[in-house]
Amino acid sequence: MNKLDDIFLSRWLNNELSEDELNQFKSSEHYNTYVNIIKGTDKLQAPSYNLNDAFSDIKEKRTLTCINQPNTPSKNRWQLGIAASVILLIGFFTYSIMFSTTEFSSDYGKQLAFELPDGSKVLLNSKSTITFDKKNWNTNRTLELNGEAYFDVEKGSTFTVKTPQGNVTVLGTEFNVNANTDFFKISCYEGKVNVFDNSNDSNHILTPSLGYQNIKGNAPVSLNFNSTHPEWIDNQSIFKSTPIKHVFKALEKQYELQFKYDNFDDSILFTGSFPNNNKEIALKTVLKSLNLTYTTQGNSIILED
Amino acid sequence: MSDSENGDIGLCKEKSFQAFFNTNATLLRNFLFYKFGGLEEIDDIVQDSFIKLWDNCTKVTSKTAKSYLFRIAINQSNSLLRHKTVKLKHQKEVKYINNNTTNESPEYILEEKEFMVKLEKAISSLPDRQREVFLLNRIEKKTYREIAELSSVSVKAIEKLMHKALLKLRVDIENLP
Repeated sequence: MNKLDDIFLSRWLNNELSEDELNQFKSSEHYNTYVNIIKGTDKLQAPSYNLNDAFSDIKEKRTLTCINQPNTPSKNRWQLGIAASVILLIGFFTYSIMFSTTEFSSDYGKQLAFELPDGSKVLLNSKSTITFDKKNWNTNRTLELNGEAYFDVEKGSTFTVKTPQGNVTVLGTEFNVNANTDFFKISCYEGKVNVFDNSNDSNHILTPSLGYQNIKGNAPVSLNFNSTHPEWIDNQSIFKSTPIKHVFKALEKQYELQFKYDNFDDSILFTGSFPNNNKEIALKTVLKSLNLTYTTQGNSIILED
Repeated sequence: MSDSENGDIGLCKEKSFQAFFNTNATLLRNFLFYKFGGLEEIDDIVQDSFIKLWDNCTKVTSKTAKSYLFRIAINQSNSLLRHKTVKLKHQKEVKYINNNTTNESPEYILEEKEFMVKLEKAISSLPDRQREVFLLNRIEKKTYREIAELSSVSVKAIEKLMHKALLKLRVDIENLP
C-alpha cells in the first residue's frame, strides 16, 4: 500500500488512478469496504427543500425587516427606494368597502394623522376615510381612500391607493390609484409619481412641484406649484380652475355645512383659496368673490338667486 | 477576479433574484446541512443570508454573488453554531432513495441494512469539514474544484479532505460492532 499517496482515495473516485495503482488498490483487503461506502452513500439524499415556500418566506421576512427599521440613516438599502410624498384629492363619491379592514376616518373640519404598519405616514384631511387590511399589509400595501390624504411613503414594496378613478404609481415604490367619478387630483411633493387616469387612458409622471388634475366636464390640467406640502396642512384650501360645486363640497366637509341652491350654475370655475379654521371668512371669501348672497339656516347655506 | 463595473446582473429585481435563489438555495442549504446538521437553524441562516444578499444586491456582480452568499452563510453559521455541540440529525433525516432491493436474498438485504446504519453513523461522526466535502461530492455531485470554490480553498485541500473522510469512514465502519 505504501506506493499510494495521501490522496489516492480522492483520485480513485475521480478515476484518476493509473492501472498499476488501481490494481494495487483492488488487491487491498479494504477495497470492498470502500466500494460499499460509495455505493451506500449514493443512496442517501438530503431532506427535501421547498424552494417556493422558502422564497416567499424570504420576501415576507425582508418586508418585515424594513418595517422594523423604518428610519435607518443608511438610505442606500434599496436601490430604487424613493420616499414619495403624494397628495391625492379624489372625488366625492360613495365607495363601498367590502373587506374586513382597519378604518381611519376624520370628522368634519378635523385632520387625522396616523402611521401605517410599515411606518408610512398618512395625514387625512377632513371627512375622509382610509381603509386597509392591517394583517396583510406587509405583503400587500394597498389601501382605499375616499377623500383627501397626504402620504409620506416608506420605501418598500408596491404601494397602492385604490379609488375608483385611476392608477397612481410611486416609481421605485410603486403607487396606484383607482378612481372613476368626477374629481381626481394628484400632487407630488417628493420622489416620483406615476398617475394613470382611467378616463382617458393617459399616463402622467409627476416630479416634485408638479400635479395632475382631471375634473369631469373639464379638460385635464397639469399643475405647477411652489409649496413643499399641501396647503390644507396649514389650514388652507386651494383651488385652481375648479368647478364651484367641488369648492362647496370642500366647504361642506370642512365646516359641516350643506349648500342648497336651485337656479345656480355650479360648474363655473373657481380659482382661489379659503381658510380651514374660520367659517365666516371662508364663506365670505368664496361666495363674495362670485358675487353670491346667501343666508344661513342652521348648517344649511342657502344661495339666493 | 475582474468583478467590477459591468458584471451587474440586476439581482435587485425580484425576478432575477428569484432565479438566482432557485439555482443556489438548495446547494447552500445542503452545504450547511452536511456540515452542521440541525435543519431549523440552517433554514434560518439560509433565509438571512439571501436577505442580506438582496439588501446588498447593488454591491455584487454575477461573479461575486455566489461566493458572497456562501461567505455570509458560513460566517453566520460559524458564529451561531460554532460553540454548541451540534446534534446531527443526519441519521434520521437523510432518507433512502432506491429501495428497489428486488431480487436479493433476505440475508443480503439485512446485511445491506446493517451496513447502511453503520455508514450513516460513521458519516455523522466525521469531522465537519470532511463530512461537508464528502457529501457535497457524493450527493450533490460537485467536483473537487467546485467544492474548493465554495469555501475558497485549494483543490488539493479538498482532495486531502476527501481522502481522509473516506479513510475514516472505512476504519469506523470496520470497527463498528
